[in-house]
Amino acid sequence: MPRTKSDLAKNVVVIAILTTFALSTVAPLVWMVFTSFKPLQEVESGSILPKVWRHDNYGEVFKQVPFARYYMNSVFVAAWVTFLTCMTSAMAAYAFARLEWKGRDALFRLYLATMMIPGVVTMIPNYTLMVKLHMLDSYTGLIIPSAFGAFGTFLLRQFMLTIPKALDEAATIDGAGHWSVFIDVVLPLARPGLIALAIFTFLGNYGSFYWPLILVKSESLRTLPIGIMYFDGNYGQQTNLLMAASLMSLLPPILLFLIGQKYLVKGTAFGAVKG
Amino acid sequence: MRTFLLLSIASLSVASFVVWKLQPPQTEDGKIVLTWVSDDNPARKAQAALFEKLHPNIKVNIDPDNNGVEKVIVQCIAGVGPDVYDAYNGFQLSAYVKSGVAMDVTNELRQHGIDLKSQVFSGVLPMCVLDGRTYGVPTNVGADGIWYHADLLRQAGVTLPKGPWKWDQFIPIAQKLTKRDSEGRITQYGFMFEWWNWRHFFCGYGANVFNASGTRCIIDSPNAVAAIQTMYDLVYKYHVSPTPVEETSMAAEGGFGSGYITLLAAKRGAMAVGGRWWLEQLRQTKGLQLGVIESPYGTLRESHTDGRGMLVNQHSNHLKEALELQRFLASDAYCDLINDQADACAAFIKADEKPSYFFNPKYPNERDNAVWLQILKMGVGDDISPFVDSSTVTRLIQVQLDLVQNGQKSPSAAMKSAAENVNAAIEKAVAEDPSIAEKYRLALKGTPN
Amino acid sequence: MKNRHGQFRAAMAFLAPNFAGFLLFTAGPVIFSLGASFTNSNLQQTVPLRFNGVSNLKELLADQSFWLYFVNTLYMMLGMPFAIFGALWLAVMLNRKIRGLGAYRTLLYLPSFASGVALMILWKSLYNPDFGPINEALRHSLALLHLHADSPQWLQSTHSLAALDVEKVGIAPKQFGIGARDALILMGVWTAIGGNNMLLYLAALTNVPEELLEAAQLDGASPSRCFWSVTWPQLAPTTFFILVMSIIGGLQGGFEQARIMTSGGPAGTTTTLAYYIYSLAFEQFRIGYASAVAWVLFAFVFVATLINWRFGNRAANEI
Repeated sequence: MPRTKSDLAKNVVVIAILTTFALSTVAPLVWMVFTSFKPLQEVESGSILPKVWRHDNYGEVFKQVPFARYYMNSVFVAAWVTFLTCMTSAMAAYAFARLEWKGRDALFRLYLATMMIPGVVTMIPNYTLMVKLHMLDSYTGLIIPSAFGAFGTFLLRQFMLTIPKALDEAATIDGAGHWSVFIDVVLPLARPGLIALAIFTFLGNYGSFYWPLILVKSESLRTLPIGIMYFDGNYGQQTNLLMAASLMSLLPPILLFLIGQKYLVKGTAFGAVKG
Repeated sequence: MRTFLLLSIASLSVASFVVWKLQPPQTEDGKIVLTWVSDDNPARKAQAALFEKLHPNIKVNIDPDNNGVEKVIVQCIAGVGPDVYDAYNGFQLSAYVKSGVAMDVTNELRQHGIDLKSQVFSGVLPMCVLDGRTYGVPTNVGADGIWYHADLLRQAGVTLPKGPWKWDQFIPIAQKLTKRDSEGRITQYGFMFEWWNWRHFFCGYGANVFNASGTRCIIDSPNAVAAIQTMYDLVYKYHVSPTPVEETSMAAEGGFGSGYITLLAAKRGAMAVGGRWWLEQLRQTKGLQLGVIESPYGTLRESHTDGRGMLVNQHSNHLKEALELQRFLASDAYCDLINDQADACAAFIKADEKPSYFFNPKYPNERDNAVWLQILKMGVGDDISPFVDSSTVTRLIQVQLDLVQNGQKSPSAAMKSAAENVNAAIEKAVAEDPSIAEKYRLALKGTPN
Repeated sequence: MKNRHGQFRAAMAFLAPNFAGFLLFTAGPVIFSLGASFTNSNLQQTVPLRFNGVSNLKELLADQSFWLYFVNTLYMMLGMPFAIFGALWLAVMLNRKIRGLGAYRTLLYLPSFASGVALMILWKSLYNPDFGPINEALRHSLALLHLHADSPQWLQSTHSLAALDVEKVGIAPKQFGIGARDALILMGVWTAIGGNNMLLYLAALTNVPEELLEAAQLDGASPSRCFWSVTWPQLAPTTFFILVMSIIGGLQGGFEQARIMTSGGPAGTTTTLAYYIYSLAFEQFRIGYASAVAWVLFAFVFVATLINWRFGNRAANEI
């Protein structure tokens, strides 16, 4: 509770400023929503609210481009990449955090070092590899190269280091092998880290633009970001439909954000403060 | 955790199966699907549909999104290239052949009685034939003439000469057609042309970019400079054409169609350089009466021919069908369609000598087809050099032309710089690539230069 | 089970999938790319592959476009201080014990998680000089204030507030104005101001020891004095981290904006080094030269990070 009158005044000022910022942050998105319901002539009219509400704009998007296909491609690829990343990173993190072996720390430092290298440096040879392997314009080409990164291993290793070893030892005494310890003891305890990684990875891959842009050639393989970009380019100035399409593509991230907000916040802080 | 993992793997596998099933088939209803990379000209759809009608077991998809020499080459090499694609000039053909993605169809065509040298306008051969071997069949051919606004000419009391005329006859007429307002600003330009269309002017002076063997850039020769000088004078000496600043303030909309049509309709200009393909848009513009006359020339009565050649991807999965599509371009049905659509003109000369070409009952107002034929008959194609790539050359030349167009450099100085830069590029390319170095040495020996 | 041999084998088994991918798609490509940058490798296969030595580097240094785009990249990082200080300011305000501030935090974070492409398409429409709401609003405001000025052309204009020249590196007074580069900077600040940086500052603010602040207040320090002498130094490690990440991101960034909103134009003014590399590698397919430019970019990032580390560490240690 504000203790003095000046505290109250300060709070009012703060709320006012925050409200201004929040409004200016939200304003473009509000414009987007309203425009997505306008008929084409009204887009340029300068009025904010549509005079005629065209719900069928959304259906129209599906008629003009294979939008459902783009959606399916984005979600499908992101799901696979998330699963593969989480699994392989968790396994590697277990090896780094829980097992003792020669060269472990040196190899881990190598992993860390590669995280510094700009993505574009590796994308060029990866593309060349896809060309040589004839994996251009394919689902495997979209999924496999994106499913391995050092970041996931790094994040989960840090997480696993905080899990007390006593629990492992208890399970081992009961006769559990490494795989059981991993799946039944460590993974469940690392759940917050896993969820954070899963959300990061899904969001990152769902919105990824560069790799699908260079890899995909056929319309049937396009993901949402590429599909929307071509929709903008090829179909004239249909701003209202474009806004409807963009809004629809924002649904999964918004949902994911609302559900996983606290994990994201924790994950960001965790990764940064220690780093 | 175990159950969760198993569930995830199971649902991902099911999803993969579903997605795999949903893939668009290579064959639609048992038809073979061919991909044709070209531009997004709406006329293309009718052309593909005509082929499908004659070959009911084949479907043709037009793909304008992957149009671009480098893209097509790399996609073909990676095994995901189109079945057929278009080359827009000799440089593009050369790049495709060098990369090994263009199929040599010399024997194929001969077997089917198609002999390009004798049957098509010579100006379109550079996009189809390289070093004596044939790779492409022309899709169409075009050459620019001058479109003029009949009403404006009548009002100004101007009559154009019939047949050939030179730039000195043109200038006074263009000046008569240039109108100013009370403050001296030009409201109507006598003549409009695009600066990237410099080859149009080159042909009228017999100027070439390269010498005969392609070993040297001769764009600084007197006739080339004279061509650019004419362009410069039209803007800055005679003031019949707009400066870049004036052009932007007149900016018309783009898309597939000519902005000049809109400007002529708005009486912002009286004459403009354009091709027969304007008819596609003119047929939808009511009330605009335009006539055609061949372009004035400087020293040589020649016009610049452009067009496309359709090439077949060597690595295509459907070679037989792709070759059928390529051969279709030589058929009467296709050529007549091109002339009817006014997608410029058919490349095969016999199609353009038919009565149906000269008079189309659907568009009785179009009386100028004989003029277009005449322009095509005096057409020449682009000259290229096998020792340097086209994007470099185009860029180096365009940079200099931009300076001339903005009044920042004189035509002779600009062409001198362009020639120096292109020759430097040739030297660099020869130094880097041993395979053309040999060819270059031999070519040098053979030329008097 | 705990014997070293068993652990080693188990470790290999666990590591294998991730490590195989790491070699194939991260470590391997890094080495390949380094090698390629010394060749004339070109995917179009029109020229035989040849070891080039440092001629790619020489071409790069003499390449007018390279330096122009480098300047573009640096210019577009000018929004960074605004984004960082804005994030700090927002975090400080959100750090109060007022009910409902969580809602503000969510709203402000909204642009950060949303997919980049959708937002950029949105801003492209917003910046439309004839019909976009930004210019509409500007026109109304200018009319209200009875000012006669043209609203900026935003994404179609080659101008910039620093009057950068378009054909060569330098200043050209004719190019003064608000143009595409400034439009992108503004959009960048909007996206980043309530984002991860704000969350990081929020987390760090909760770690500032209360006693220090109370001590300062007891000593009669004004609120701003309290902030600059007590809070700000405590935030130094976070600020330092944010600065490093922003510089790394800024040097490598600008690709999506250029590709989606402006195609690198008008006249190459919004082309950053990242977009230049894309154009070289995936439009011209000059793999060798593009790799060389990419490694030079990495060198810039590395040097910038090193410098930051030196100064940042010293500053952090002086507390």
